[in-house]
Amino acid sequence: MKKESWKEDASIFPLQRLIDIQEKHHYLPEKELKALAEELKIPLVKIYETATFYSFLNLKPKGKNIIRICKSPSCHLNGSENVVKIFEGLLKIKMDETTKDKKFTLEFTSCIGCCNQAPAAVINDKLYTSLDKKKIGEIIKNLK
Amino acid sequence: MQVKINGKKCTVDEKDSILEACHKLGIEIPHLCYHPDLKPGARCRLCLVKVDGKIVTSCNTYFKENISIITEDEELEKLRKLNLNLIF
Amino acid sequence: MQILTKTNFASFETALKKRPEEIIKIVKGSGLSGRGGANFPTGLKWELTRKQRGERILICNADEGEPGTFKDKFILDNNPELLIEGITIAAYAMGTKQAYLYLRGEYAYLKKELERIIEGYKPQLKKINLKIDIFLGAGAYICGDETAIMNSIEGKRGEPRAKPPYPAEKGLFGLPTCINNVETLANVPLIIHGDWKNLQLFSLSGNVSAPGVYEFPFCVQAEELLGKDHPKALFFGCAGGCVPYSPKLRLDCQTITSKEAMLGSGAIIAVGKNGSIPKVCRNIAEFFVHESCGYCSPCREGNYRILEILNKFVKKKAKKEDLEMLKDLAGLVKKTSFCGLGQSSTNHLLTALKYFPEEFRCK
Repeated sequence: MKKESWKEDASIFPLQRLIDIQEKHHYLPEKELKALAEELKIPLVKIYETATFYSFLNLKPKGKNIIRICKSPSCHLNGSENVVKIFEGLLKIKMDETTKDKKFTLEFTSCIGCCNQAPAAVINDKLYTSLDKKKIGEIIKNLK
Repeated sequence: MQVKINGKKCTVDEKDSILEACHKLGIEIPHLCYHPDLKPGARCRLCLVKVDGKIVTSCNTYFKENISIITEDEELEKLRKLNLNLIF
Repeated sequence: MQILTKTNFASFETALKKRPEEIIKIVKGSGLSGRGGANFPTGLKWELTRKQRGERILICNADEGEPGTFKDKFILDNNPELLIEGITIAAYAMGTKQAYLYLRGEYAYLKKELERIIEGYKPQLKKINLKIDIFLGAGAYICGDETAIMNSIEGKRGEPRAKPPYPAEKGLFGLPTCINNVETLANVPLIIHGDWKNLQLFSLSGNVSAPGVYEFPFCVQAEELLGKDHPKALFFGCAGGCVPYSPKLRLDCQTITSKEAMLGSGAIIAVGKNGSIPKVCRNIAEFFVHESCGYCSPCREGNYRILEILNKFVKKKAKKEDLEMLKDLAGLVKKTSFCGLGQSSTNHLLTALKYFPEEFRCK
């Protein structure tokens, strides 16, 4: 690789573009990925290689609000299993499912750095900590 | 370059990886993902050898002067078998 | 807390009055070492990078993903200006004109504020022609690895690279690159400021009464951190393994390493007296199964099989052969995985089997 050309490579940042598409459409539509590949002049297979690697990028349609519940050790030791049951009960779906009105998706996530305020979840870039039944009820009410 | 392989003094081309050099010397090391036309990926983790006691993959490890390499022992055989079992 | 000191970029102005080589000498002399878990001497890393010809790049690793670690988040939430100043001084010392702040996707809420701060310090950055760009991650623990972070920025899958070549020789886009942790860089302005003490940030969580970030010298004893709490075990994140709790246990790298665990980035997860060690191990195995990048067989397949067997232990249906296979697999993954993530992904199990064998009962 020529050292002078690195700045051209650097301006591409396919991952950042994929994150933008995910935020706009709540998943990565095939049409958008094809358009991105053409625009950046990268083979489509390379776009898919990257798109399938990251947990926050989804190839299948998800709900408008992706609720990612932390299940790493600190949250696990502080009741994340109970948080799951509460969310599942209120939304009437199981983990990895999306509500019929496409408003909510429930997923697990790895540690989000809120271990001192466990159990925690991340929803649309916002962190929600010290979750209990009351807080979860408020969260769903405000997002509906 | 002068090195020791399985206790014997050998002369190797420093441009070769341990796997390639051993192959040229008639010492076979099991491997699955290595191919001479491809850059070594070191993914299958079958081509394990011991370099001065440390376990490394031979397809992407190169020689240094006077190092000692073991290509066969009980531990290496066990690790290779386990990795193969995991793949299949 | 020392890490919350507001320096207002005064340290950068002090640094500018010295030659870059002098700054490297000061950092080397301070004894500052990497706070991402690897503990590599920071000044030496800068020196090795500066030695290389051509353009050099600095990456600030804010992909804090080790479960139980939230000290970088603490710095980003409470004193982000200190980090930006640290990045700027590091860039000056190494002669780099381009820095990337790789911010994990889970901390995306910080992006706007960090961009605002960088914009605010544009005049200072302009003095050394430095550009700091924020790069967002998207939920991948492996991208905390210094070689995987480079692949991620290049737009590829965040898989690790073989070393050598080391990033200082051939890194991002093939250029000499230095990757430093958030806490490491945040300490730099404090070292230049003078009066700096070599303190470690510990992230305490789990079954404790006062979880949080604590700042202590490296030789702190466990009871100073945990107070009256007396848990059964301490897990050093997911990758560091565990030890039985003892109030007088010194939380420094050598002591913990001598117990076959790793202090790493200072994450301490306490498991209470009623906690189940096999359940915690199963939780950690689930983590590694999910986060394994899949590149090599031992980590990808080995952790999957380890999880299967741990499920049997939790359900109390494990047999003697299962225990033997668990030990074999844990050793295999540690000895033959491609990268540091894989090699440390079974530390939890190796130490749990060593210190809590009675909890892994067979039928």
